[in-house]
Amino acid sequence: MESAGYNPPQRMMDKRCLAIALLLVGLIPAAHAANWDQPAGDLAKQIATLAGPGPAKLVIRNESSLAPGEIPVIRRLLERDLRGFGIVTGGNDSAMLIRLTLSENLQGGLWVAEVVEGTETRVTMLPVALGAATVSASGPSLTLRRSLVITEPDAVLDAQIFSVGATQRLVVLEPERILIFVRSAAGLSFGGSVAGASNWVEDQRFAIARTRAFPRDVRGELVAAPDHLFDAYLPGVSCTGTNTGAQLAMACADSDDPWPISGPVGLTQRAFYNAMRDSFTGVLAPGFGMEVAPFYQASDIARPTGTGLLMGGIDGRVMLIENSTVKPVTGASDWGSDFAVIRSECGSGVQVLVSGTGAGSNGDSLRAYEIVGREAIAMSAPLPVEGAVMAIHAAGNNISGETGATVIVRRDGPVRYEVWNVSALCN
Amino acid sequence: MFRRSAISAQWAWLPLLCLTLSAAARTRPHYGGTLRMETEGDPWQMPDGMARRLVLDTLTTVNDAAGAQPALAIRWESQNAAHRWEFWIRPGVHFQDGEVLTADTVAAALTDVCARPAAGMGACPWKTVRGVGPSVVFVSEAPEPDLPELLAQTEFAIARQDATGAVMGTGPFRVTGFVNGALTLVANDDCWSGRPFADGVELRTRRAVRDQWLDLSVGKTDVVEVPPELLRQAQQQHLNVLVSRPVDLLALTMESSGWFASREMRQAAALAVDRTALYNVIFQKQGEVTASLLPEALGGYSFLFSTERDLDRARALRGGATTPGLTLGADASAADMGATGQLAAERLALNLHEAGFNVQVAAPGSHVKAELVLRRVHLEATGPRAALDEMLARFGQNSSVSGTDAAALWREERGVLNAETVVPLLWLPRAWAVGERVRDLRLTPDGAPLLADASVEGAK
Amino acid sequence: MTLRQKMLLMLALTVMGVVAAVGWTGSVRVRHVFEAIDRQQTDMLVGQFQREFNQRSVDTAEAMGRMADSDVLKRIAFDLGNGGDSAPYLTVALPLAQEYRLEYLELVTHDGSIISSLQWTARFGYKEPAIAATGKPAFLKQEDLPDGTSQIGLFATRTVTGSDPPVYVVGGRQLGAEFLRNFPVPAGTQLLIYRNVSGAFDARNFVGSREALTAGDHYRALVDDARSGGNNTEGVVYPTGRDEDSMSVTAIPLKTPSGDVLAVLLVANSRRSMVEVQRHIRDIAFGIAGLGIIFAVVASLWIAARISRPIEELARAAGQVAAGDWETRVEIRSRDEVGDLARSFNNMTRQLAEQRERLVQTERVAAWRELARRLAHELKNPLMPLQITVENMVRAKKLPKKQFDEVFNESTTTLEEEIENLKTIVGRFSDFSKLPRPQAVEMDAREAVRRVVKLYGPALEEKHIELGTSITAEPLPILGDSELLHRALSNLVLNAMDGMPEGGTLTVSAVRARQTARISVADTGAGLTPEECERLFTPYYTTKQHGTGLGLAIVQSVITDHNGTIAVESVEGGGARFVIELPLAETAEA
Repeated sequence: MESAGYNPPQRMMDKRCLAIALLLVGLIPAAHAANWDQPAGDLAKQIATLAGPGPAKLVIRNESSLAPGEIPVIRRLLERDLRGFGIVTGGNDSAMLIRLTLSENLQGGLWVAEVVEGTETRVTMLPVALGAATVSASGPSLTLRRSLVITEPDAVLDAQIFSVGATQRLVVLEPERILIFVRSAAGLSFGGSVAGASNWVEDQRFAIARTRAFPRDVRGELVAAPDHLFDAYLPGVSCTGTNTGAQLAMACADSDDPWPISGPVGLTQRAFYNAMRDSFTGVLAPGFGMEVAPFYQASDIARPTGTGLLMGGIDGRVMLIENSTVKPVTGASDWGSDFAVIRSECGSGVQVLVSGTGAGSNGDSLRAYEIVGREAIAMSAPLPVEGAVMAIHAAGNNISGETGATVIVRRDGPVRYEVWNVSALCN
Repeated sequence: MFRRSAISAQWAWLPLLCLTLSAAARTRPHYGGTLRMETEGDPWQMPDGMARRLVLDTLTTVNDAAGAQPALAIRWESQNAAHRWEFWIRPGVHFQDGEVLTADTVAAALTDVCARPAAGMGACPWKTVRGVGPSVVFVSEAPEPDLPELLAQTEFAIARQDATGAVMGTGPFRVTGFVNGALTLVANDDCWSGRPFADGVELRTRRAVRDQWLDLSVGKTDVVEVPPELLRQAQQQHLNVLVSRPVDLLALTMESSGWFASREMRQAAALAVDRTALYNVIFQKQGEVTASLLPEALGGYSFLFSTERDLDRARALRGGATTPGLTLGADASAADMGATGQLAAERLALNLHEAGFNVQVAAPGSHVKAELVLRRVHLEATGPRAALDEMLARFGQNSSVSGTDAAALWREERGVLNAETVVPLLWLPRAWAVGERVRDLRLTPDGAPLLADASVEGAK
Repeated sequence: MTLRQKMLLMLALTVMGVVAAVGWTGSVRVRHVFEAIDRQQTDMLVGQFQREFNQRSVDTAEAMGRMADSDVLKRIAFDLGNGGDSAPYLTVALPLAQEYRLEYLELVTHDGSIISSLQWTARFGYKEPAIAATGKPAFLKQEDLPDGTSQIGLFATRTVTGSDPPVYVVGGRQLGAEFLRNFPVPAGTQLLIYRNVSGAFDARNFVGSREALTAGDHYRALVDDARSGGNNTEGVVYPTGRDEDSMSVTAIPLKTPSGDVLAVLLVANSRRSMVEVQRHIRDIAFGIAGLGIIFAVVASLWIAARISRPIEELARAAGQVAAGDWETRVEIRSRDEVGDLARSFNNMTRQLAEQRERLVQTERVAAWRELARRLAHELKNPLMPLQITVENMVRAKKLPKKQFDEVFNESTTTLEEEIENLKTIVGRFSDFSKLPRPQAVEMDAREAVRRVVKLYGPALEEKHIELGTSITAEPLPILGDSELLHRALSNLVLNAMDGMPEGGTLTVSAVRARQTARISVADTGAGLTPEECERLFTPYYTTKQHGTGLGLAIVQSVITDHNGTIAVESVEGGGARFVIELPLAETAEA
């Protein structure tokens, strides 16, 4: 039953599970080195309040997703810090046993130290933050590289970085609000939002005023504006973000205006959005003088003959409008509904970053294609995604100065939304 | 930072979630079609019957990481050290019969819930609830810092009865009838949270699990239940399965009176219990062995509560006392597990026999008073403190959690468990098998299918 | 009992005795025949059970063998042998048992740990010792069940073919109601199994029929004998207490290979047919006996006509004679001994009548003589003074008038007195002949006594007679004529006073004695001889010098008219005591 359906054939299930496991294992080489100084010091202090100075035996057990290689590091740091409090570890015959369990819960890591003396056991705990990693996947001619921008507990529709002078602001569009982040000079943030390498901290937040209910699969888009900073489009609502010096101002209003079709080329087409069905109606402004079927996603794309419009129809077919002609794209049967056109130094310089349909794979994935003629040709290996790709938006040149796309991924267990910047590197 | 590379045994359930991912969004969902679902239980049963979840909404919802989220309430704030809470009701929300949702209707609905508490539910944590303008004000005698999370529990869903007595809610579906053993629901086009993708839901109830699976295999239904003990089998049969994290606690409770008046005797019974056998065999290695009121993923410290069996100590604690004929019964929720619940009860009775307790298992459906009760308690909260609060309420414990950090929660829990009236045994997940027509079906944090967010393959 | 009744009874008893003897003999014979048939049937059933049991043992062992050789179990054993997890096989016993039609099945590892148990799923991981019997023929085993009960089953243990390490299957079928239901048993025969799972007898351990459970206690003795002795035992059981429901039961202990009695098989043959035949015979016997009695009546009537009627006539005639009919005669119907007896009876009655006539005439003469004598005696006494007075008056005629008048007056006075005396004497005789019938009204007998005592109290005192009274406190209601009773009692008191001329003690009492009022008047006078006592109430009999002999006769007449009795008790020289008993009035009794 190999098909283009969205529910994968069942016989593939085990392989997909295996792939996830392999993926998790495969992350080891790309993992960041961690700094355990602070947690080890804090825990040692807490242990010292329970144990008092003296010899002790330290046993460390890992019950978390921590890599085994980190354990000796943590042990060394902890032993060092304990010595500072007069607790000397190492003696197997010590009357005192310190049993450290590196545990984990939905909120993050939890280090639990049990100090056992005789029949008495005292316990202390220390919450430890979790981090993220950068993952890449290389293919035939280019490698997709993704880096985590931010993680949010609530649904994220789009996220873009806009520069105001020397200041970069990360604007995160959510169904109920717009969050503004600025870069932090400090270290890791352990708040509700977990920042990645860029260490964004929340600066402002604006509620989105609306009078109509959103559709269930709400979508939204951030678009840079020529006369102000950006526009945000949501079903039946549009917002305008304006720079007012150190802060941003936001104004939202009900609106059925067509959304601009984004893309690297800067085509001036706009499309009317059907707020009840989460898709574009097919009516374009100014349009191509032809009838276009309803579609989910569209982007302009540089073609040898000029500019084309790539559309993902609600019937699952990918169409290319080129020279006022609608052409079906072949080789796109395993495309998902979300894609964005990106530019790179590789190949033709124009690739389409596409989410997978989920068929035949374990979890979601991203893959770069080039449209050669009417055929979509894969340019990279699938980049596995531990979660579901919820949206892909062209990022232009704004995010980190790279050409790429913003990918919103929903992760489960616990549910959270990750904003990734994905770009293409040449092999 | 942690390297996300190794999977310890504790997180072994994670790969199962990949099954969940298989149904996650790949393409935009389509509208239309009817989702067909089958369940063994009553769709309206308190607290979390499926129809209640489809028709009704709560003031808040919870997600795993961020606690309470706005739902029918758009914001809230506490006053007087969490003795008083004010929740502002979302404007412009209508019941399915067109009636406007107001603070007063919310207060009336919650008052009604508290007046008729369902079996196994704790008492309402507030003393009074009333509508004040656009907001609902809760006043409690004790501080209720987790009230926003608490209000996300389905037992506090907002319901109204129309003139005909039909239950009306603000949820994504409304009931249209009951035909041939199936509850039919249609999409609520004006739902404040957006019209569901499916045009309707056909909920066939009181269907045996084996029949559900058969219906799924022949395409007569789309979503069916998979009890934990059949999860392994479902996977072997290559069913497309969605598995929640552990959300049901199987526990043995003892009354601190009669034969079990002394703590030593209760402790002896607790030490005689062999959780590993329950986990490995009866529940086919699903969920997690526990002696804690919170699953490991929530608390992170449950290993501090020993799950080891110590028969010698149990015998020593019991002493030479000859026990009278004790009865081990199953509460309604455990009895809903059918043969598996009975099997677990019989296994526990065997364990207790080994420690010298003369225990007989009450026959299913019998209403004899049992000294030992096997209970299955469902957990909805996602925050550790709220979860512990919820579990304490479910087990009828009067104490409320005051601390916020993990250590405080552990101390609180240890204090309760030391009384040995509640013996946690296993945390079990909830699971559902999904047909090929269904797309984007996900589970709520407490393991219920989010049918409103799912769509039907082939619909326009 | 009349002669006819005796004869009837004798004849009936004779007939019934004969019928009973025949009936009993028939019944005993029938019982023996039935018992013999019952024994044969039981032996046949026991043999049949044994054959069926053996066959089922073989079937069970074969089913287990086939199962042990099945691909399913081989695959499971292979999986387990290669380190596979046993948990997924927790419920595998159920489909296997259904396929091989077994009621017990356990899958057991090489170390005896149960992987899957059909009968007690929760026992996984626990040890099953029955694997020691692997490869042996089927055997009986007690199986504990999760509800706390135990069952008996026919088990076999086999090793799964090719398993390494070995995997065992222990399975069997329940020795219960279903097992018994499939046995071909003739109508009226019942198979029961008592499961020997508890120390003391418990009727709930019966399998086979509901009746056995309700009336199980009736089997206790048999079951206990079979359990303790280990041998077959037989007996009759009355489950409902009625004969027709009784059963001839043979209890056969069923043993484990080690000789322990695990169960007792009870082959119960209904005794209904036998009881019904016996009852039939008895009914026939009763019928014959009834006919015999009718025959006896008819026969006795006929015999009476020939034998007993003359005797009965004789008896009736004798009775009539006794009642005073001296003219009674019997008819002489035959010339045999009865005829002679009748003739003699007629002669006897004729002679008796003649003698009586003579006696009456003699008595009448004697009475007249006595009456004449009494009259003469009574009249003689007043006549003598009359004569003397008259003679005095004649003589006084010669005296001067004054003296004559004085004598005359004195003599007329004497004459009047004596004439009055004569009138009194004549009046007494007249009273006796004209004693009135009592006018009975309800009265208290004590009042009559008190009245007499009160009346004669001063006279007694005058005569130095001490009076003693003993009158009960409770009323003594009688129906009587107070005047007559007073007269009677007065007579007795006067009689007593006459008996004690020198004084003495008169004791009067009135008490209740059963249904009578007993009034006694006792004196301490000279008393009476037995002869006097006998004749005391005869009219005109007196022991006194100047008595008319009518006083006590009047007393007796009054008392008799009151339906009472009067008696005298006396010892010569020891006084006399008259005792009157009058019936108490019915209202008082109530």
